Amino acid sequence: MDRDAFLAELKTICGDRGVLHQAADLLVYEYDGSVDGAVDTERPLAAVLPTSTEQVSAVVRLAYRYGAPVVARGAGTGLSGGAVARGGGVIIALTRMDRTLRVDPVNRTALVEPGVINLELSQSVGPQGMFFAPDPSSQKACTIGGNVAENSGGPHCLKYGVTTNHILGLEVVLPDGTVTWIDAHGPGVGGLDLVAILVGSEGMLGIVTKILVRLMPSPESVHVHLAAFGTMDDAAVCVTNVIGAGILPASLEMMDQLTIKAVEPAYHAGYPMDAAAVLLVEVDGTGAEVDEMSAQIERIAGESGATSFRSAQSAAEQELLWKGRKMALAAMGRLAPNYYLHDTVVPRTRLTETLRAVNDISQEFRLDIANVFHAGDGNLHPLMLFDRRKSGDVERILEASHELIKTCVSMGGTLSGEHGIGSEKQGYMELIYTGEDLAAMAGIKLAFDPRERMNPEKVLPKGYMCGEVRALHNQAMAQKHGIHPM
Amino acid sequence: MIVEQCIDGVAPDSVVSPASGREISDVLQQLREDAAWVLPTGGSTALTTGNAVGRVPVQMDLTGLAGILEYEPADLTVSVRAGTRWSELIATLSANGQTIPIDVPFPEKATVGGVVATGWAGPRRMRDGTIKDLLIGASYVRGDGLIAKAGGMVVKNVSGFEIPRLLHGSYGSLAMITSVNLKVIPSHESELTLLSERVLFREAVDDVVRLTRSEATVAAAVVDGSGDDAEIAIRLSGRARPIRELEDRIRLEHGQLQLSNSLEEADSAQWWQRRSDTLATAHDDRVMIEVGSTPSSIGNLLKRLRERLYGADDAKYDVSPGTGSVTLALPAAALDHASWQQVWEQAGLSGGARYVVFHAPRAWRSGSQVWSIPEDQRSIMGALKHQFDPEHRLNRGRLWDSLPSTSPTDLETMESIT
Repeated sequence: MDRDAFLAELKTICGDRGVLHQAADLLVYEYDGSVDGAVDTERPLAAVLPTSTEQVSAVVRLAYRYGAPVVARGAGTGLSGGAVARGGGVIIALTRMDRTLRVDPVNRTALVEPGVINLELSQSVGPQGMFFAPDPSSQKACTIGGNVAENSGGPHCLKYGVTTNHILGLEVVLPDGTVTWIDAHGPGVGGLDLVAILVGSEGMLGIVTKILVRLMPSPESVHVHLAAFGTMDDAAVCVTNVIGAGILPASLEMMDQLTIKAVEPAYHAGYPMDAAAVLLVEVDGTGAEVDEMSAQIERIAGESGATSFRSAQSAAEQELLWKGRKMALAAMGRLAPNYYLHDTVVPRTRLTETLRAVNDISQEFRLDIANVFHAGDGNLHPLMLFDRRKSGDVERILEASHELIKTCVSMGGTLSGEHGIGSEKQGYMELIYTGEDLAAMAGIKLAFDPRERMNPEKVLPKGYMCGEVRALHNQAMAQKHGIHPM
Repeated sequence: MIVEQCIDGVAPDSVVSPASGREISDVLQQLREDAAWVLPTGGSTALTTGNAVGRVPVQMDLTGLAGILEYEPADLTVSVRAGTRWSELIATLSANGQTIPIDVPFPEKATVGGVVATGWAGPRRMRDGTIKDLLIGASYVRGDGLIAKAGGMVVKNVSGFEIPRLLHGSYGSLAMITSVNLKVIPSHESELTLLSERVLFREAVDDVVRLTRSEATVAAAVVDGSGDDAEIAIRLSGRARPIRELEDRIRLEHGQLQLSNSLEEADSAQWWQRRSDTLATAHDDRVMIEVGSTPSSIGNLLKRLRERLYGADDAKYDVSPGTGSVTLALPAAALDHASWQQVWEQAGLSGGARYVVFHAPRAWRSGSQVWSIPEDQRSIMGALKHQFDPEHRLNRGRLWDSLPSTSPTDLETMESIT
């Protein structure tokens, strides 16, 4: 490829200031939020910063002509290596497409560009009595476009569902540069639900340039409670009992002792330092509903062995209780210089067992593992603490990670609940899927992007890339029809 | 076993009743002739939806794939085979105080796989969403016979492409679903329905839009109108005390709705079930069209449609103002498909609104397309169809008329085979 000619053409599309290609400028685009070691970093050929759908489409067409892969990127907060360009492709950073184009309070929707920051959307529509439900921990930085690509979750997804439940339509640049508007299935919409397959496709099928999101009406009343427990088992049993009693809190989060040790001295959220675990429970709804649920939860917590139960008495106190949870990752720096944040899901009834197994792994590998997670969904986030400077630490956490993932899968769980597969967990896909399952997924990639130009070499493990699956497919068809391939 | 049954007025050449994904795959792989294809059926409650088909070489009855595979109430998840009757699933869940909040028409006949494949959703969509929101996994057999699964038995999962959600509403055109995994929800403690006197249609729609915007916890709200009159029904469900408070507030603040009657608990649920059955009942002399727009434009949309359909005296409009949708039931004799399209275009609704003809007499549908699929998405839908079902063995013609017959991959396939 004539790199200079390619860069020159990119500049005619995005302008001089919209194309980065010097090594120093590209450094930040070699990474995302994933752990170096679990995910290989790679320098892209260039990074472009388009400001319109037309520019994105033109870049995609140009890259297609030059045979260069393209990788869409939001804020780069992803934790599975999804925004790292494999094979030296072009990063299309969508952060300059950050306008909220329309807010419609009657229909409770907003049309946004992909670079709009998650929290800023909720803040901007808050005064109109609405919010955007998906709230990943990175919501102060992550973009709605990134949320769509990863099908992001967050604490409030327990009640409100993940990103895919809140996307009504998408403008997409397809791998050949075509721009199309797609409505999610709803009344009067026929054909295949392309929105359903695009959300969570990790930038492998298209680049989203406009997003019609559903906004939720702000609840009339919100209560936040903190229950402390003497053992992790008691806290996990309480989670099962709350869910089993037919209560659906807005969120149900658990933090273990190690997390409390990191968080409390830093943010003074009011978590009891002697607790083995705390549950942060938020309930919302009408005033009467919330009163009833709160009373029920307090009773269940007591029956499950809670050593204390406290309800926030003001909005400020609610915010403080949440601050501890939301800043937990940042507080980990007090315990160790590095951490590897995992993301697996198990059926809720297997939580106690899984947490014990995580503890066993911590002992076996002599690693501190903090747990701060979406207990109500069974979505675990074990944080393995380590020091990159110490020889052998990285290898040890990778081995322990392997054990952890295998354990969660053996509990009937899955590889990722909200971070995605990217390149971090490609190698684990065969733990939960058969060759046929993966071939079918490769078929989706083939349909949208037969030449593998969009975020190549992600999600699907080796052996299931387009070319390999196409060859298998051809072989099967040929055999069926008695044709012998040359 | 040969079952004497007509599908959309056509007797199938043969009927097969597989009992497993493997048997489905075997049937598909044995199809050799170009003209051979399979029409999958569940409870046969939605067979008049879709483009008219000329001949049905093989009907595949999937009701043999029945039963609950895995159900752990404390996990709030269930795995169920596709041919299980909807009523059986709901009965199993109800016994454990759980449910799936969708009013499926003819639940004793309709199957779980059919509900997913047709993407059925009733008026509770407004608050509780659809079955797509609850779909966490599926096993399926592609048109080319490949047996696969995606998703799992956990409530959050971003491990690979969301194939189960793609199969939702795909009318069996990509794959035959053999089982699905679903999130379930706790049953509501109490429910009640408020019913109005006869009210003015146009005002009722606007009034109910206002109600659904101010009271977000209303489960469903409909306006069923004909001529100038309409009746309103508001469904409340949840905890007993909060819904009584909501009832009081609605009566106080939305008096113009004239909600003078009410139905409690089982009577309320039965009222909605009957409405759902009625809406899904195919009549030989009627056309049923589902139109979707937004809550803010549904009033205007109805005004324009009614002006142009003036004269179709017994036209019925079942409106769900909170979801911006309406199901029209029109006398088939009053207008043919071309006239309907003319009405649609004249009303200037093609921009923001969409429609699907979900039932019409066979003659009405013949030679025309009942789905309004955007032109610019046909090639990508065609490419997906090609991957799942390259020889168009599934539901040929019912969802697709003439998709691009070759995709880029198709050309490469042919080149490498020959």
